[in-house]
Amino acid sequence: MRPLALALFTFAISISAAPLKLTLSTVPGLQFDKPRFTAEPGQAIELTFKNPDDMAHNLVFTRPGQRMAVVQATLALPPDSNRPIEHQAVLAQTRTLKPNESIVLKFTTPKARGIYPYVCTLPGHGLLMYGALYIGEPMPDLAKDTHVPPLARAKSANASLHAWPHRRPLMYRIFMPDASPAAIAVALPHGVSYCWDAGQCRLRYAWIGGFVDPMPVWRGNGNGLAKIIGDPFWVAPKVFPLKVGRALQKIEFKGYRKIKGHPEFHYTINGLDVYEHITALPNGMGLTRHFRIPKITAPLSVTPGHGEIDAALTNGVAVLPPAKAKAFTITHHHRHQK
Amino acid sequence: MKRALLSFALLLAGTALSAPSIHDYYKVETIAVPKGLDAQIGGLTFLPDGRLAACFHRGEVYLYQPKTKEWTLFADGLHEPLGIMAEDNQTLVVMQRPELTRLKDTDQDGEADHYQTLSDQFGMTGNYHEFAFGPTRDQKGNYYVGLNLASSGASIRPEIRGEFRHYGITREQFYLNHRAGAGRMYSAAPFRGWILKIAPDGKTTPFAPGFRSPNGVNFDNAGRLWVTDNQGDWLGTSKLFHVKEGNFYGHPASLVWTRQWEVGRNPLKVSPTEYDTQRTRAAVLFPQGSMANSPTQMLSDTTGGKFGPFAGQLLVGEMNRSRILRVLVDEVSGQTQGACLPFIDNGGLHRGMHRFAFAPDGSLWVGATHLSWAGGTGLQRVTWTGKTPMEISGMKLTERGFDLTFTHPLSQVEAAQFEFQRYFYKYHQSYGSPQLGKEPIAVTALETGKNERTVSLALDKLNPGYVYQLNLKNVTAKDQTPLLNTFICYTLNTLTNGDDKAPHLTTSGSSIQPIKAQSVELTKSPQILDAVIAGRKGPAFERHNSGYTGKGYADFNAGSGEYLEWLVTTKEAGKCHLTFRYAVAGGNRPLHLKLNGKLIQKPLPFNDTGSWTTWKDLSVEAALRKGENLIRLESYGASGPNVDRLTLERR
Repeated sequence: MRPLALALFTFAISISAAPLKLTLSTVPGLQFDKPRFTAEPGQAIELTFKNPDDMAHNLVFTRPGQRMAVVQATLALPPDSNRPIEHQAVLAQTRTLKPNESIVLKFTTPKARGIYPYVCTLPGHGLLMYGALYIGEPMPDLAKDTHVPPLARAKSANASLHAWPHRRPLMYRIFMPDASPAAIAVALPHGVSYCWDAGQCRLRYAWIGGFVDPMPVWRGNGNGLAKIIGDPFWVAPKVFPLKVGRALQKIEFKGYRKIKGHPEFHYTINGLDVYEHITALPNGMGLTRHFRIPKITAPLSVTPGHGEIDAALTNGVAVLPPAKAKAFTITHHHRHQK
Repeated sequence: MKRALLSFALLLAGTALSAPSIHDYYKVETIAVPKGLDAQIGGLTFLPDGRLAACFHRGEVYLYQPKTKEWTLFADGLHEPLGIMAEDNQTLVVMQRPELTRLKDTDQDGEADHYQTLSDQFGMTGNYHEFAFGPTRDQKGNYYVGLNLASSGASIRPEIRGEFRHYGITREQFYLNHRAGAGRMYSAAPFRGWILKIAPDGKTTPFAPGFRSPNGVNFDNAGRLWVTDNQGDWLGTSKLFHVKEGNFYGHPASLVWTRQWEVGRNPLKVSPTEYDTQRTRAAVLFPQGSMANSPTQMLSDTTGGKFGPFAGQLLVGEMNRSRILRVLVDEVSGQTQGACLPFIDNGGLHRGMHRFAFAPDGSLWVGATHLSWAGGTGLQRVTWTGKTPMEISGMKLTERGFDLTFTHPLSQVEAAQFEFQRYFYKYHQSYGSPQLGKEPIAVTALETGKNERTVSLALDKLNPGYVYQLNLKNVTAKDQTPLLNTFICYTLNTLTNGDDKAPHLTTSGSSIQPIKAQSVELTKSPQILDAVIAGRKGPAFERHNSGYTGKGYADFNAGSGEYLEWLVTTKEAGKCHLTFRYAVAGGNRPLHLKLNGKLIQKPLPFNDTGSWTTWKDLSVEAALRKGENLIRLESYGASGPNVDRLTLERR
């Protein structure tokens, strides 16, 4: 037995002497493919960082517990900046990678044992897109690891939600917080998700990051709410966004059609057909609502509620002439909030 | 020698045939479902092309091709779908929590792309218990769905869909304290507890109120609409209703959505006697425990004999046991009633038999669910082997008793082999009901029909408003094959002469007007005070459950606001032990104890005694004053136990 143990020991030494080579990739929806990994104290690392996502990302290793401090410090920098972050808690960092770029990052791990965060510090990403480098520390169960993002924990707890592979767009009619019981949650590409309320026929809020954890509803008899995973970036005002004429509006939900998997919602305002189709911004930093009201003949008042619309706003309301009201968009951007 | 040989041969035959099992007649096989699927089945239906459509707990709809055993995803993202029907090979109609939806594959790529809302014209408070069941369809193409009540196990959500209405309480007040007068199950949004009719154009009409948990909504071959409901408050046991437009089926919470309902009136404060005259009784009662705990869908055997000898009869699913129920419908004096008995009992079915569909080949496909209660998961297929089991195939009420029909000619039988008993389930607000008035009923005459398949039995007592339970002892076919299921329960609502009077079903002794307590002088210690001398408002004075002392016991009905009180006079003040003898089954029912109008802190914990005939003592110490003392038990939300007596003992 003794010679074998000795041999193993030697083997381990020889490994830690050579650089540890590994790959870390971005995943659409503000994630890294590895929520965590381990290394020895004082080990040379040769890390290939790949960005197959369709938006820019970087990779920054920080001292234990310093992730948010570094993220906050980078807020002042313009997005996609190539200027290195100057912060005492940064251990190693890459420049910002454009989509489909990759880079090799070489550094030596600290001698001190600990759990060292890694993060993408681009605006809005740092809250969700991170992981943990364990140096000489034991790893807890992934489902219970508070050093990895909630999405990674949830994924680990619910390995398989359906018999078919997960793909975006994905939608669930499910009980959601801050909406009527007839809510719909939709996951768009680029990590953008939204809650559309079929009880009220309007978009209620949107978030960026993961989608939802549906298990609080599915696990039992429905006495729970789906849990939002991510960072909310837009909440609807209380008023209904569209107003046709002065009469009291009776709004009825009619269903939806799936266009390449994306729902186009259909409802009526006093019998007038309205269609709303929602897409993610190409950079993943917001969404656009595409409205169609083919048969409108009267002017339409629109309350975009912190949204961009191609019309002048008076007291937060845009009035569109019928020709323009037949098809228009409202865009809601993800603005980083402190 | 010849005789000996013959009896030996008989003995052999007897041994060989003595243990036929359900497996000789029906084969049950499990169908593999896609890997990774939470296979809780909400609905099953066959498409015209022979494929099966199934909807699942997490919102998926899959199609299954029995020839290739392949599953394909048809739709997803639905909210707890609990029923599905095919319109054609590309179109399915599914009932999900928020709406009735038509799923259509318009581009014929095999997956639905149009999710059309047929009707969402009903309310949702977001309470988990507001399940939506159905649909079924009549010959004109109208759909029918069932809406579950909300449960006081949870409140409503901060946002609801539809109007909120709850006996004068605002939505905000209710949200903060939903137990305040909610009742065990409540209807705070439109048409919870109703069957709705939805026309092909989406026009939605409330069809019939009075349901608690109408899981099974389906038409039979004869065009009758059947709805199952679950044991609970106002349902002494689980039931099968024959439903007609405008009738009321017994659970009053839904009545707040009737046109004539007085605004703000609390249906829980109306006497059960008033409802009893208005309600339509269930056609079939499923005795809780022995027959079923949670019936699900009704399906009529449309196979014309491909599924065995029961064509045209009704099958009903059951969640808690590995069985289906078979229902034998009897039309008596224009009323629908009938009997139920186990079917495919312990024959390899999963528990949680929730949804059924007959395949074109006459096999029965069954899907299981649990929704975190008792039940199971997965899909099974039941096929008839072609052999006819020895079973009861008919039970009909006659002027004197019952006519029983069997699938095979009978061997000689005598009256003692037919053990009848009868009992009834009380119609009251409390959860469930014990089997009351239980007594054996003697068979006074027996006659075997010429075809040897029918037995006419005359009974000693035949009255409306009882379940007649029959256990058959050693009844065999001519070839000695024993009867497969020996337990059957007939629900007698109406006699052949049309008499359906059954005043014993309600709390006829219930005291809506307060009854004053008799004043009693305390002369000894211990001194027993029977319930009969107590004053009361609400509780009924009853004698149905054995084991009480004195003349009977007081039975609390409504959730809150009822009391039972004793008035005692003492010569001197002093501490006393008050001991209440009580029984309660199926949960704890604490009461407030008030002495001379003052609440003695902490509710008295009248905890579950296990059954209504198991009586226990609960003691508390109190200081009586000199002169008159009023000792009152008051309900404040959880109704109350049956209280037999109060014993006073000086310290």
